[in-house]
Amino acid sequence: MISIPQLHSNSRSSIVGLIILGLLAVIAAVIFRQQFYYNPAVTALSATIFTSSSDISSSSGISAPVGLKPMVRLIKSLEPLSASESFNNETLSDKIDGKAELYLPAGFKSLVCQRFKHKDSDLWIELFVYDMGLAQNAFSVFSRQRRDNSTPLTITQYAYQTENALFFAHGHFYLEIIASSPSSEALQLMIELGNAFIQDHSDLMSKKMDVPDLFPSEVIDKEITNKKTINKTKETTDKNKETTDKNKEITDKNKEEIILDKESITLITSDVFGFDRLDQVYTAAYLVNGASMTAFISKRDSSESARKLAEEYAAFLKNFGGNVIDSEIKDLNGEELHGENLNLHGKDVHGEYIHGIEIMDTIEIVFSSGSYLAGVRDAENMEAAKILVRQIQNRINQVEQNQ
Amino acid sequence: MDKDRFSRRQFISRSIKTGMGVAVAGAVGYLFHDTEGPVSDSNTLDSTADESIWTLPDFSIPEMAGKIAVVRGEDRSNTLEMAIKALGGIDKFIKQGDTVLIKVNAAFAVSPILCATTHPDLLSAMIRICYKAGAAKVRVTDNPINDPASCFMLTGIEAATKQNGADLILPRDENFANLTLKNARLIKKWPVLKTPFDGVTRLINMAPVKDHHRSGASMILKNGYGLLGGRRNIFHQDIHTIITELAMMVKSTLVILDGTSTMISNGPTGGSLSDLKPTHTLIAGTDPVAVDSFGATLLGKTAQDLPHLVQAAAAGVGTVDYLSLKPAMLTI
Repeated sequence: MISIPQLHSNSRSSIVGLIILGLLAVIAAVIFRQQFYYNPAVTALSATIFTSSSDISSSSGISAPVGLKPMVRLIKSLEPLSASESFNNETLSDKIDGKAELYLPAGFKSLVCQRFKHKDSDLWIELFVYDMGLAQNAFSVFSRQRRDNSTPLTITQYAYQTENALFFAHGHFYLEIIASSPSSEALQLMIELGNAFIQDHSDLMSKKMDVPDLFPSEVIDKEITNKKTINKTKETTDKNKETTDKNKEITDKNKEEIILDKESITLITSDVFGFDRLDQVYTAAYLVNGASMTAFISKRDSSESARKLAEEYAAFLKNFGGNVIDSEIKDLNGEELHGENLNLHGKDVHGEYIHGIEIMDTIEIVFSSGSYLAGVRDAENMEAAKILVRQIQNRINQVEQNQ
Repeated sequence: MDKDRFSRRQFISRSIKTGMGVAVAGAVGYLFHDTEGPVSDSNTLDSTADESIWTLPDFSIPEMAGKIAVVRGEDRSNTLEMAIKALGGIDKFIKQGDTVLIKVNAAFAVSPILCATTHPDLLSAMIRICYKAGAAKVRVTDNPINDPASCFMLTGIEAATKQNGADLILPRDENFANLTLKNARLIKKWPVLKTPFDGVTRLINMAPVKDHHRSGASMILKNGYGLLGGRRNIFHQDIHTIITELAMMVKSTLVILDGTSTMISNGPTGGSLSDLKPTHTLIAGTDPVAVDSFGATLLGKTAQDLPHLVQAAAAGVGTVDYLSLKPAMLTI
């Protein structure tokens, strides 16, 4: 009997083959996942756009969000100038064009808008009500579009006015009320409209965002510690004037002035700083001893995920040309500074590392503390950046100890 | 013979099988490849449109190529007149009997104070200048993003048009025809505003300087978006390419870029007067890339910050080096 020779692959080629198959499977899985992330406009090729204002809401078949009541009955001096319009994530760009990119990744659900005309003048007002799904999403789009030189309003936790418009977040809604011309009468009408909406949705909690409280906001004057030294030295001033001057110089160097721009506090919900894994990050602009920089804080699910994300973000910065400068920030890991023992020893209290990166001529420091990821970016001055990082670390530690 | 070693025959056999596998995978991939790119749905507004390929005429005047004037001033009417004078006078652009089409930006149904659309004062001045030069007809058009009737009315463009004796053309289904732009990747069999151009001999492109969340800026080149029909927002995914192709498609006689009050943030819709900065500048010229490149400076940007400008220059539409055109710089 003749045996048929069998071809046997050796073990090495089998392993290589399995590795290749495994890689192909991973590639297929990534492609499969990416299929779900695309511009919603791609799926909307068949809808027509040439409809009159009054037809839009009926032809689209989109109903207004549940619970949204007409405003006009509450504002006696206004009458409808146009029918209400509704937009979903496929049609939002039909109303606000490229600006839809700001809302869509931030959890946008729907937009309802309507124009109203003042009965006795040419003034008209347009009301935009964005349903963002969650209060923090509403805060995010509110904060990312906050105008400079605006005047805070007290109608909700997060509200401000400009010369011709009102902007505020209430629960999961973000509202814009825009007048055709600026006037005190227009402002009054807009506030009435805003209050009418809030009253109609009084069940919604205007949730205060807790993370912004972690941004230090007071001016820290370190010279207090050293004043005793100065006073003692002054007693000998007459005898030793040079010594007095030298001590005064030391005092100036120790002064820490941390100024937070509260109006700059912003929540970025996705693709933060260009890193797709970084989301739900609060940022705030600072001046520290005259040097500008941005602080950022994000609450993660666990200390482990915060630590891992900090490492990944630091690696992302390195991949984009950042230079590691961990050695320049070793003192943030717990060495004594200016006579204080920081609450960090070698690593921070939970064993996480602090990462220092120099990128595009600015300093970036990122760390994790407990379940928080935090840091400072766009800092031109290393010493000033470290001052702010220490304050943020202290704040986070206090919060965690109180929990 | 060691049974673990390949024989030559086995090697060739396995290589052929592997190659065939790669070829089959590639063929399957090619079957799924979209060689045409996005095309308009035939069930929508262009169902009655002319399917034959047409081209948008070139309205530029060769002997007036490469001209740019920058005028600083607060009054749009005055800065416009001075700019046109600096370019050689309106008679270099408009002749007796011309039919002029003014392509405005009426994208949104907003008040003119927000400077998100062509300002009615500027439009009024331009219409008057055209008629003074002997134009027989002046038309005004755009395909806005919002409802056209509301847009033209609330922006003040309708009133400015009619009060100065021009014709306002609202876009309707029958005004569009499919167009394929030569060498283009995106504008292929795409509905483009056609009938407003019938009989037109001169084209003036008028737009404000605006920040734009997607493209970085909305100025003269981006104004060409208002000639597209269909679900044009699909092009947002490749915004700089579509703007470049629009620049290749639209050859204007004259372009007017209004930087009197520039929307420096929260564009393209704006909404607050605090989004505006009083830059008090009007730029006029025949090189739309150069005009937009100067306009970018009003936004605190350079042409390099706006890829579509660089791409349009590379495509031969104009130059980002506006200084090389020796712009006339004037102040009122």
